[in-house]
Amino acid sequence: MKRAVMKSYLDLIPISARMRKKQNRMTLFCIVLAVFLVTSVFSMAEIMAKGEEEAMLKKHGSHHIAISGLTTEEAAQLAAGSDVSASAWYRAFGEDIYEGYQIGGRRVILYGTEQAYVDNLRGYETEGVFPQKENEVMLNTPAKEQLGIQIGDNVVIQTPSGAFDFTVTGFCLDEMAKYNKKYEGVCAYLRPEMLDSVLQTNGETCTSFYVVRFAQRTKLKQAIADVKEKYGLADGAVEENLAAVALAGGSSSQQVNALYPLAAVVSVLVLTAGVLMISSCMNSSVSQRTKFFGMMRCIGASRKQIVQFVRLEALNWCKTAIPFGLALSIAVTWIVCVVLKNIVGGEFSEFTFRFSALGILSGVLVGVISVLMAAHSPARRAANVSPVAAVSGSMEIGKTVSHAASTRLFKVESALGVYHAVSSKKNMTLMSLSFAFTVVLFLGFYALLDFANRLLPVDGELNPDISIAPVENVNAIPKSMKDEMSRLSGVEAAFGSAMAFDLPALINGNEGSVDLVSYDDYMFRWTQNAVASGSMQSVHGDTNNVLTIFNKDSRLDVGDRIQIGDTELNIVCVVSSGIGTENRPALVCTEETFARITGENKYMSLNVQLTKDATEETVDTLRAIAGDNLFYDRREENRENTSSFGVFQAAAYGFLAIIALITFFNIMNSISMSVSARMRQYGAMRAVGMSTHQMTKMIAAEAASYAVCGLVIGCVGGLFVHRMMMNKLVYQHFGGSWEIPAEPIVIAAVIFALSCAAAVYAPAKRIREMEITETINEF
Amino acid sequence: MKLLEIQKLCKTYGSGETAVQALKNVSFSVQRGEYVAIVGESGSGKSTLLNMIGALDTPTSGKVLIDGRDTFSMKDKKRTIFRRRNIGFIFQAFNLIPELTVEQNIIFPLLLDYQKPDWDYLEELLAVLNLNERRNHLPSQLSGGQQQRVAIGRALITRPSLILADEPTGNLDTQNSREVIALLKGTSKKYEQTIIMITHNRSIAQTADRVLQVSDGILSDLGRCSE
Repeated sequence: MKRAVMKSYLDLIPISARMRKKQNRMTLFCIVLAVFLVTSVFSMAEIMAKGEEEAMLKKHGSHHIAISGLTTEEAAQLAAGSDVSASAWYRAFGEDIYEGYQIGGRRVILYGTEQAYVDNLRGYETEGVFPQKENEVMLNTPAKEQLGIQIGDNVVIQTPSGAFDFTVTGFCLDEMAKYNKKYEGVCAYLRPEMLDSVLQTNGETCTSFYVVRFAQRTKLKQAIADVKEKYGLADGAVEENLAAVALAGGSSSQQVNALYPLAAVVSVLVLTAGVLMISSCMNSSVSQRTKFFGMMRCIGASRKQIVQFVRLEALNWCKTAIPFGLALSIAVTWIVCVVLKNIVGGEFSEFTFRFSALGILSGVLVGVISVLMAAHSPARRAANVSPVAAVSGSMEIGKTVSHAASTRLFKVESALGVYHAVSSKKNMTLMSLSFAFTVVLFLGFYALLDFANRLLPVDGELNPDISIAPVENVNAIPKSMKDEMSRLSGVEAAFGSAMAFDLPALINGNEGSVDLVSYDDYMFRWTQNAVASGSMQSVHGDTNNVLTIFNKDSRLDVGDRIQIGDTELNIVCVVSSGIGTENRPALVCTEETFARITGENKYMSLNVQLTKDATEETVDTLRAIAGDNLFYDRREENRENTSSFGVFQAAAYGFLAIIALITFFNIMNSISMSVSARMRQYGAMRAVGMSTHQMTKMIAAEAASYAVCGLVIGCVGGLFVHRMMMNKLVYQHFGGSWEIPAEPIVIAAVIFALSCAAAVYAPAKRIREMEITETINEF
Repeated sequence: MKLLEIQKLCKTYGSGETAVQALKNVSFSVQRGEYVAIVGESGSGKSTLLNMIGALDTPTSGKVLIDGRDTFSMKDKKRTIFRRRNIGFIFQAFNLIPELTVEQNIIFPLLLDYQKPDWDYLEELLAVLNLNERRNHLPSQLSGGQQQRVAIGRALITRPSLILADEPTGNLDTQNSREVIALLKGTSKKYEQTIIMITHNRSIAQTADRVLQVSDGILSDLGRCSE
């Protein structure tokens, strides 16, 4: 006969797991959640780091050093060295200032370089070939559209000393085309000797660099030092490409380096929350099986065996939960990458999905560690079940009640509920602290969101899509241009501001200098949202009342008096951000006041916000109206800012949602555990006439006691954290003073209330659906 | 030959004015192979006495000697092992593990003791308990009488010298009660085991070798019921 072989009492674990699938679902879900979160966080951190790394290399090039003052022979000798993997000559002309060189009426930046630079060191996407002869040129991709040319066409580079004819051999998507949206000209790549010849004709020169990338295994610092020594180069002659050097050195940018500690902090938070979640699930499971553990003790299981049983039971869940959590995380990470890369775009366009060994390892570790840590308390709890519990069916044996529930304040069922909550001080403390932890996290994240909001200005603020400025820094744009632009269809608003820099002034009687900026009505209206202190109601018309933009160096405040010439201005309001300057204290006044003080009636900066349905025609019309003024199209930059903020917001709110979910599970499990422990008592209460409605109220009162207590403790701790974070992150840099944030507290309270309602529902239903006699016998 | 000796056993719950004396100076002894019934009103202290004998609960004072060994002088771990090897429990509510089959439930105490089951003995037990046909069934697939027979099998598998039964027929009908008692008696004779059983049922108590009565924590020996 085939015998179902059971070799150890621990074989009961998988058998029991199969039978108790439904009861274990919650615990499994908690483990899956913890593994999923940690794996996702680390995977995303790694993907971001790699993406950032690739973007940096694309932006700054993969060369490690750029050497100036090297002869052709020395360069050839250096290139032949075994530790050099790629090298090329490189020189640029007209990058920083407009030198008057043009192609087809557009500004041109000239580069003299070699194919290795374009293909190998920068890795530009190219079409066609790099110039092989002197009169050949490769242009950057935008030139194709802007000039309407193809490979093989002829172009003329206009220089102050004459025109030069070139044949276009190819196009490349260079750094300027990809990253510098403000630049509206073209870039031309010539052979080095050709650039020299063009510049010579014009009596110009530019520095010639020999850029070098070392082989992968080369010790960079040593290699750079060797090059300097060998060719007798001064320190200034060797320029390091910090991005590539830092990456080769094992570290990357500060931003990237900051990602892993951030991921670690988030993981610790998830681990803590995971331990709390899993532990409360397991406690709930243990308290529902008091009779079982009592029976085990009765028939001879030692405490150690029970501890081992509960721990292994928990680890057994990992077998299913960890792979599931990992798979879920990989799928979600992949989806997030696809969304970030293809839909959000911008800085996320370099994100490509990859399997993160670090993410998977951290997920597995956190899964196992959190389960082992979480199992500690339930295992002890199970081991401490008295064997008498199996015989008598009660955990409460030996517990003495020192005082009765107070029925003065509440009806008896609510009074009993509150009493059940407060009767165990340890449980009450743990529950309250776990609720409080949620509130603290909530408030902390809110402070971070506020910070991000100020760092990345988004739609709806004074964020122009188009900016127009005179070539020189003077107030030269007529106000009529603003009116003309604002009448165009597709223009949401046009606003202008005049500026006067470095005006000598007496600041509260002390000599100094200030910048004066004028705002129009539209700008004042939006600035209202940025008021940090004071009021800007009195700043209208020709008045001496002004605002100041918060500047942590000057720290002008409400009530300060600034005298410019004969005019004494009063600061009536401090705003955290606005259009102004950062170098000196900036005062913001009305256009009338500005005209009175400076005598100037034109703008230095004219900004336009477009409607969502604005077309390119609108932009072209604006460009035409702007005439010779500098014209900046900031739409792409704004889109990137908005998408970055959107991603940050999604991540932060995602975490808030997870915190809320954890709270939800915690409350549900704790209530379920408490109900299980008192099932007999509840049965007896029902037997003597307590209605199911009263029963529900009693359980609700218990849940509410934990929630209220947790909310109060959480608010005290959370407000302290919020204030500290706001002071450090926001007020120090953007000004303002701390106020109690009502919104997150209300949200936390609502989540607590909903969780309590949901937590009460299941156990109340369980009791309702049980026969009274069954409830009495259940233990 | 004495298997169990109880000396001046006292148990008090609570303290001060609220103190309740569940057992008052109880002393008696039981011979090896003897079948003893304990009777008494609800709350008289009989379950407390059984818990003390089974080392499930600790007395306020007094001694419990099983085979001459004082169970409460042992440390918790040693006492657990002693209980596992020397005492078998039968509960009114059966307390079987719902996830395990009949056979697995019976051998479970052996597995807790890291012992390999004696398969011949298991077969013998299954035959004696008339559970051969049901060996692969789950408790939920058995009648109350069959479940209690599994519980008896579980109590017997470690060949304990003492079997403690707390109202083993409390959840059974008359026919099943009679069968279970006959089985208990038969197996105790066959394996030379001592049985101490709490019961409310007079006719079941009459089948015992000796009847002890607990009343308000005081024990009196009623001797043989037939006497």
